[in-house]
Amino acid sequence: MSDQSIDYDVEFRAITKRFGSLVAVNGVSLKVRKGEFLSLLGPSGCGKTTSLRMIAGFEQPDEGELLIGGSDAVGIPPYRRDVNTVFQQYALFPHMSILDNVCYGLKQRKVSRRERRAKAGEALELVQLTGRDSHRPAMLSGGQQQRVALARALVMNPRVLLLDEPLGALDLKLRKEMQIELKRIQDQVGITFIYVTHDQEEALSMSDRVAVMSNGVIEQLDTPRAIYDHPLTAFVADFIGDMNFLEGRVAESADGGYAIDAGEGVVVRGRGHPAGAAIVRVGIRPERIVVERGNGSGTANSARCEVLTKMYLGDQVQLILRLANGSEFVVREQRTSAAPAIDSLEPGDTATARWDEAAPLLMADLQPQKDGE
Amino acid sequence: MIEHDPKLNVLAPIEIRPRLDRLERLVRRSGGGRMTRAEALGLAGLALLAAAGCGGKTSTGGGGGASSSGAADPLAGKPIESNLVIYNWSQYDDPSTYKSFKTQNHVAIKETYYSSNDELLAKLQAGGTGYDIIVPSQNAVGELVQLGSLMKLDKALIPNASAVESSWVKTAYDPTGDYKVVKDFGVTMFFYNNTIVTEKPTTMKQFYDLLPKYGRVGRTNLMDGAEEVVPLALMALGYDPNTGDPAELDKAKNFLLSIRSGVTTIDSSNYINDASAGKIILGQGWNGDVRRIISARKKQGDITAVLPQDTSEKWADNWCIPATAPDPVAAHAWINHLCDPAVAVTEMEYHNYPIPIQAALDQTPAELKNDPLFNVPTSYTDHYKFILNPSQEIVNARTQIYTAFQSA
Amino acid sequence: MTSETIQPPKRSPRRRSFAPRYPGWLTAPSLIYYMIFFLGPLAILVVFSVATQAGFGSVSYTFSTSQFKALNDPLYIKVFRQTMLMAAGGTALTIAIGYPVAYWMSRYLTRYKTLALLLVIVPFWTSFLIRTYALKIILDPQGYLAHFVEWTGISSQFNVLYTGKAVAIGLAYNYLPLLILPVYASLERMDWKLVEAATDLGASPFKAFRQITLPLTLPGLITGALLVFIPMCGEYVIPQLLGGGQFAFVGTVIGSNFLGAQNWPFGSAMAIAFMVLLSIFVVIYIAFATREEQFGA
Repeated sequence: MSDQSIDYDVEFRAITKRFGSLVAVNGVSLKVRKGEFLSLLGPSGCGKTTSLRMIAGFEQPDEGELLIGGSDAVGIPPYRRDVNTVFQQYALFPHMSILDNVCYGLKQRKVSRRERRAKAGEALELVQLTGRDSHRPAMLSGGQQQRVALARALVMNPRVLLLDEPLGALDLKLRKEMQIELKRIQDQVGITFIYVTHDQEEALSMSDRVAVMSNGVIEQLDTPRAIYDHPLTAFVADFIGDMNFLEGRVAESADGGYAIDAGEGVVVRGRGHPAGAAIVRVGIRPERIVVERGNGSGTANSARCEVLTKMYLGDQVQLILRLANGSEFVVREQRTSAAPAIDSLEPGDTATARWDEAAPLLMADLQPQKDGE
Repeated sequence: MIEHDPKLNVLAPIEIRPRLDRLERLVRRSGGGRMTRAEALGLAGLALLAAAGCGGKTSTGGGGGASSSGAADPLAGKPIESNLVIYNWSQYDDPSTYKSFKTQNHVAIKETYYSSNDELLAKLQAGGTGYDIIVPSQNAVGELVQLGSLMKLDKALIPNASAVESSWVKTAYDPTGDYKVVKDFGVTMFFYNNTIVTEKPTTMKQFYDLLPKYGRVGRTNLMDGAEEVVPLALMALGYDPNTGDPAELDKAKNFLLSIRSGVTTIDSSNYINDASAGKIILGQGWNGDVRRIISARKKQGDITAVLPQDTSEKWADNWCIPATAPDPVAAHAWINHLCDPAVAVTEMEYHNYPIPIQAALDQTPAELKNDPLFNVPTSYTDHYKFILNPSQEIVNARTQIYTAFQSA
Repeated sequence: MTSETIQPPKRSPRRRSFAPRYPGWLTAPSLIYYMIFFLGPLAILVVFSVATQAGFGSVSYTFSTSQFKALNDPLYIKVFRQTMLMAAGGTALTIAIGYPVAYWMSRYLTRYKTLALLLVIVPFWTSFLIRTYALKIILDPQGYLAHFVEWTGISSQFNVLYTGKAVAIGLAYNYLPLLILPVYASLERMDWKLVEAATDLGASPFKAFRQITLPLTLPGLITGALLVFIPMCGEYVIPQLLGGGQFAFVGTVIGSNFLGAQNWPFGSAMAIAFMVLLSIFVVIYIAFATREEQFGA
């Protein structure tokens, strides 16, 4: 739909990128909407950084088309693209002051000195880093350097801002603060953000949409909630949050419901329609499982189990269970009361794990969407 | 022995090594300060410093021949020692000479080498003793006599020396003839490419006067070093090469500067190769080298060699015995051996420089004795002059003029 | 988060207590060696430079500034200037050749980096003089290079030998490794993400090089330039062989005073004066070196 391309800031059309024999990005199609915060999420080597570098212009696709702002960007060098990057290790120019760093891009555009300074000042204010104009980058902390890098890119007012794991080098607390900060800034400036990360929590908390990548393809592209609640593949299900998997023969399937016999009396009943296969896989989120002391009946969605370990995660209690059929389950419960029921269980105890019919997610292991809009 | 090799300018490190050594020693001839490879690495300079510093000698000035053994014949009747230590330029004597000396006298010879007169002087001044024979050039002999470092030779022990031509016995640098026996000698002359240079210069002055004209046409060359450039210019102007007269030196300086633009190179170590390849159209040279250039250009026949009519430089290397020689009798025997006409003939065939002993010269092959570039006629050498280092002031003045000439 | 912005820069304190400490006197042999063989000759030079001549090759140890006064002569000032100009030309040529080579080695080679480094140093394994002679053959007006240049029509007459050009070529050739190595080291330490960042911000490759790569590798370049400039000034073999003895370098003049004239006091004074002059360059270098530390690169 090239006539609609103008609604998208970036568009990948069946892009493939190889490094020698390694296929880094394998026929990826992707449309990035104007003004959205899109995350490319995946483990290292999944192709997310390569995708970002192709948008920036540091790499050129081997096959396929790349459109930025509706026009062909293949072969256009980075310095002629209306995109800017915030680098992982900040990549601030060590021999220049903070102000000169932020002004650098404007200077390339031959913006007047006065205007440069005014805009740089605004950008630094936007990232809440003022009064350090004359400092050298090495004199700032990691978080401050990150802000400078952000200001340096934002001051260019690009069509798209690319962020390559920008918070990776910060400690947890600072990272959380910066996540909120980034979201605030994006709301404020309204620029399209494409954010590369391997941290699913980061991606879920900030993004409008998340593209989960694996082995050079997009496994799923959707809103954070949909990705969490309705993972399309086992990879996504496992990568986003925690997931307990059960596998078994379809015992019955009718009327938007099904039952699966996972062996040794473990039967899963859920909603949906297993697509023809005799053996299917389901996933159940840890927080959707309730554990009770004692030997419950071996009915559907209720499995006998043994407690293997117990851990306190601060706000939650986590148990690792072994089901009758040998599967291991992770279960978590919020410590909403002083002594939640789960807390009375100790390793070695026998218990029953229960869940409702809406909890099991049928793992389709579908091929990822080819036209990821 | 150096024959001409037309492929001289093709790099062959191993083969050219002796050649380089030889060139270096040629360059040192008149006590000059050109570099050697060792000096290029700063070694010789360091050695010089170390010698000066560690020796800590404050030998203030020439103290006259106090230590020279002037007593009459103290060596008479003494038996010959069993050792002989020679400090010499490398490859300067025929191996057969050593062999025959050893068998005749039953003396063990030990020889070490130096590559410049300065190295020799520094070594002796730093207290280097233990040498029986040294081979200084004429200007170094003068200095060593001044410093009292040489033994007065016992002529009775060198009967063969009586055959040395009289003009080479009492020389300007050894007026009494007591401290040296001339080993061999040479002269400085010039040559030109007769297909390009049409004037027929016969004097050094004419040579200089042609430089500005031909410097633009092709390569011209002067022998390098303050001790060559300045005295040769003084001689061309008709002055004493060893003059200390500031006015004369000043005239030489102005003369040199006036012809500077006509001088392409100032070089004593590479000009043989370049001239042999036909690259120098007008240049100075030492007679032994010019001989080789002529033979290299025989086929083309385009080089004319000129022994200057009026005057030019003559130089000599000399056999001397240090005052501290531990084996003086053997040292005298060595000099006597070298003055044996038969030995002198093989020596000349080896090093290609004339030894002023007529009986020996007569026995050399015709191509040597009939070649005026080898056997330079006395009609020339009698008018030629030795370049000496009469005083430090004169040497300094020459060096300053040379620096001005180079940097002009 | 505003509280975070006013934190002072973090500096990890040095924890000496965990590092093994060796007693300082262990360096005594090195220091003694240094004093005798490095400072010793220098001290002798200083003593000579204030002494006066007393006959051939001997000096009387006095304190006299006459040698330095003699240096203040248009002739020697001219020699100093000529030397510096030639060395500067040689250094410029060395940079023009050496920097791209170092850049290529650092950025374009992966497997053969060590081999390339070795090849850079290999010429140092043969005698300096022999190499200079070889260069003479290459530069010969009747040599193959001359024929080639005349054949291509770049120049109708290839007449380089025994000119200042030949001296500059010889200087550059002989000192090239001394420049390449520090420049290469600084390029190796370079964070190439910075160049990406610059192009990302709109700088063309050339501008990115000029504004980012060059300033960040400048300390290495300055080190290299000084490493070649200083010995070039003291050079006296190359001007003789390739310049045909027509160029009076300071090294040549010191050499002829020491060896030819045996005027040690004057030669020493000249050496000391030149050393002082070169020290100015070293001071500039140290200023650069400290600036590099500030970058924390």
